[in-house]
This record gives sequence, C-alpha cells and structure tokens, in this order.
Amino acid sequence: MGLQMRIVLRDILRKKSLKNYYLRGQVEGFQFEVFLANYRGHFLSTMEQLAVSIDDQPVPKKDILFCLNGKEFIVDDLKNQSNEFWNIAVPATIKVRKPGGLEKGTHKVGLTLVLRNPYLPKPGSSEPHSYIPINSSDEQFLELG
Amino acid sequence: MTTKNHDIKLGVSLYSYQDNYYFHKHDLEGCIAAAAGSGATGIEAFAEMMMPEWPYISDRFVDLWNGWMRRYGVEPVAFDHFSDRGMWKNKELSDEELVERGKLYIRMAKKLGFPVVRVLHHEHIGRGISPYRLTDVKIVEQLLPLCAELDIMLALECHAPTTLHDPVHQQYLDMAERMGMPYVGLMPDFSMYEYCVSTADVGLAVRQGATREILEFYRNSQREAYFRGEPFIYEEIADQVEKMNPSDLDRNFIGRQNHMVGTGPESLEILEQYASKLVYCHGKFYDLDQDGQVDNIDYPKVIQALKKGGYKGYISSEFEGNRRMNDAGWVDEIEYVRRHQELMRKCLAD
Repeated sequence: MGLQMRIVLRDILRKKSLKNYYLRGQVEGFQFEVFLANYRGHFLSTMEQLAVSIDDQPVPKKDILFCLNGKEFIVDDLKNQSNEFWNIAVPATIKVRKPGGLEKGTHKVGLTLVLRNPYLPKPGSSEPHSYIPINSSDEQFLELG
Repeated sequence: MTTKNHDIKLGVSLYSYQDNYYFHKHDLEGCIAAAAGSGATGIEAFAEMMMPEWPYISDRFVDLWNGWMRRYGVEPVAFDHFSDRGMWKNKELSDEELVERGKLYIRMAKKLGFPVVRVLHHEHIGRGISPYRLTDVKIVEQLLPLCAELDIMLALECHAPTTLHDPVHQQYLDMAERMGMPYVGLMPDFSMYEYCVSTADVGLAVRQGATREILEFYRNSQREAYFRGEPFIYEEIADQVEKMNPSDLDRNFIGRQNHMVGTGPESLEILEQYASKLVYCHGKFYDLDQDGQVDNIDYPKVIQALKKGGYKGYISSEFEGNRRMNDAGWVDEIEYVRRHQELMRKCLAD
C-alpha cells in the first residue's frame, strides 16, 4: 500500500464484542465492534474499503451493515455519508446477516477497513483524488460465548 | 504564569494526550485536568479528536465545556481547523464548500470561547508537494469578514520545512492588510527550530530496521554543526555515511530528515523581528533529555527570541513523541507535558 497511516495500540476488533443478534425473536446474524485506528475521527464518506471475513470465508457485501450514531448503513451507502462523524472513542458495530448466526466458540474475524486521510494529499501524486490512506484493518480470534 | 518582564502565557494542545484519549484512560475532561495539572492556563483542542458531538456541538456540551474551564482554572486558546478537502472518493470539496466548512469552525470556536482558529495551508509540508490546495489565501480571504464580525483570529501554522518570512505566508498578511481586516496572523511551530533529528525518530527508525550507528552518526553530526554555530552540510559527511554501508531504510530516513531539518534551525533573528506580530505558537517537541531540555530544539534561545521581540500570547506544548515512541510501550504523555511546561516556565523566568 506504500505510505499509509496506522495506529494500532489496542485491538481494532473489540474483544468480547462478538455475539449473535436477534430480529423478531430469530437469530438474524452476528455482530462485533470496531475502533478506528487513528488519532482523530473521520466522516464516514472517507471510508474506501470495508470487507469482512469469518473463519476465512469472505462475507458478501450485501450482508454487511455498518452501524454508528444510532443508524445502520449498507456498505455502498457509506461513501455518501459526509455528515456522519466517527469519533475515535466510539466503536462502530458491524452486523453480518447470517440466519442462525454463529456457533458458540472461537471464530476468526477478518476486517478490511481503509479510509482516506482527507487533509493529507499523497505527496507528489499526479493521480486525481489521491490521499494517504489510513489502514484500520485487523484479524482476530474472537470468542462467542 | 505572567511575570513582570514578558506577556507570554503557557497552554497545552490536547493533541499531546492522544494515547490517553485513544486508550480511554482519560476522557476530554481528564485531558483538560491533566493540562491544568501541568501548570498551563490555556487549552488548544481539536474537535475531530476529542469532541464527541462534532460537528454538531450542542448548547449542553458548551455548558459542560465552560464548566470544565472554570473548574480547572484554564481558558480556551486555540481551536484547530483541518482542511478535509477529500470528502468523497471521486470528488473533493469545492472552494465554496471548504469556505462553508471554515465558517463552521469559526462559529464553533466562538461558541466554545476560543479566540484563535488554527488553519493549515497545503504548503505546510513543503512547497510544491501537495497536489491539492487546502486553506489557501483565496479561502482565507472569504473567511475574514466572519472573523471580523466574531472577533476570531486565524493563525496560519508555519511548519518546518517552511519559514516565517517565506513568501508563502506573506501573501496572507498582504491580503488581510488590503482588506483592512487584520484577522489572520502567523503562528510558528517550533519544528522550524529543530537543529537535529530527535532521539524519538532515531529510536523508531531503528526499531523498524534502520542502523542505529548510522542514524546516530548523522544526528551527532547535525548537533556538532549546530553547537559550532555552523550550518549542517550533509554532503560533508555523505562519504562517511556511505562507508558505513547504509541500507535503503537508512537512506530514506536521512533523505526525509535532510528535507525537514535541512542545514539547521531557522533564524532566531527573524523570529525576534516577527515576534510582536505573531498570534500563537506551537511548542512542538518529541523527546526530552535527562536535563529536561528538548533534545533537538534550543528552547532557551527560541523563547528568549520571543521575549526580546515582544511576543504577547500563548505558547502551547504540542507533544508529538507519542506517535514515535508508542510502538515500544506506553508513553507517559502527561509527564512529558508536565516537564515541558516546567522547561518553558524556566525559560520565561530567565
């Protein structure tokens, strides 16, 4: 990726946050929490990549919901959210639709999360719209109790 | 901390406490308390880092904020404006939109009691590097009427490798004078007065695989040149560095530092000449040595120049060592800032 920013001092994927979630009494899928690996927050429209894998299986984009500030966003809508601000002290919740959810035990959760640093243009770049990326990706074994 | 022979006060940029905030050790109130505990009386804050309601600051938050200022005996001194130009993947904010964004910061500063808004222009990282314009002179021109109305001063951050008397900065002052609205002024970041690379940078580069011996030789050569009172000419030691068989990491490090520090610190005579007109100062530092001195900036001389030149205003501690040292373990930002404030108080008293 070349020049990038990344601050990994704590787990990006929050420990103990993996659980199944319910809709109308049925397990609709699973969810976990994510912190932004940066020293300042950003508007959601600066997110360039968001992908999830569970136990090494990629999750289809249509099954991912990014939840913040009391709202749920589909991945394709994040690029428009230039008024939703993600504070670094607040974790976002990522929901994955998977009827029946996950079994109890340890699961390998993979997160690809890349944002643009909207005030840090890539030095010397002649490409349009090129800013230094923030890499907030992570991979962890999380326990579902 | 005003004494008889100067009119300089000391503040803390809460940026200095970024790890404490990130790790949930201290919330915003805790960071303000830590700044007050260091002896500072001023607070510089930036909303994108620590204000949970940004960009919709409620009156409820303003009450909380004012309460903290009173409780901890501090005052707001500077509010940081970022130029988040790249808001969408395939589209930047237009100039008009960036002006509106700028007005938002100015209004919020007023609401929270900050007299100064720090602005960044795209050449703060060096000339001709950035392909985008950030808060440039055209945008500042459109912000000045609101500044005049609300009595908010824009502080243009002048950062290494640029200098105070750089024509890049002069054009802002000329424009303000033309408009008769003296609401933009210069704000030196002490990174301009670095005479060598910091131990914090050397440590980080070594942990990432660079050669300690080479980097220390480079740093010592810079120091020796400074204390001999001569400019540092890299070409004079380049042969010796080559004999030490530098890796790509070593070369990149030296290249970057030659760009930032160059031949040595910027002129303190210029700082003294400009001092009475400056509107704010960033007391940048990365590391302190065992004598309590900043390891790569001559604070006693820098502060002496500001005093002699008649600077009236705040100098805020801006600790940036956290990002350079926290890969090796917890960095006690609160203690670093406390010692830095102690150093600045001592420099002011001399």
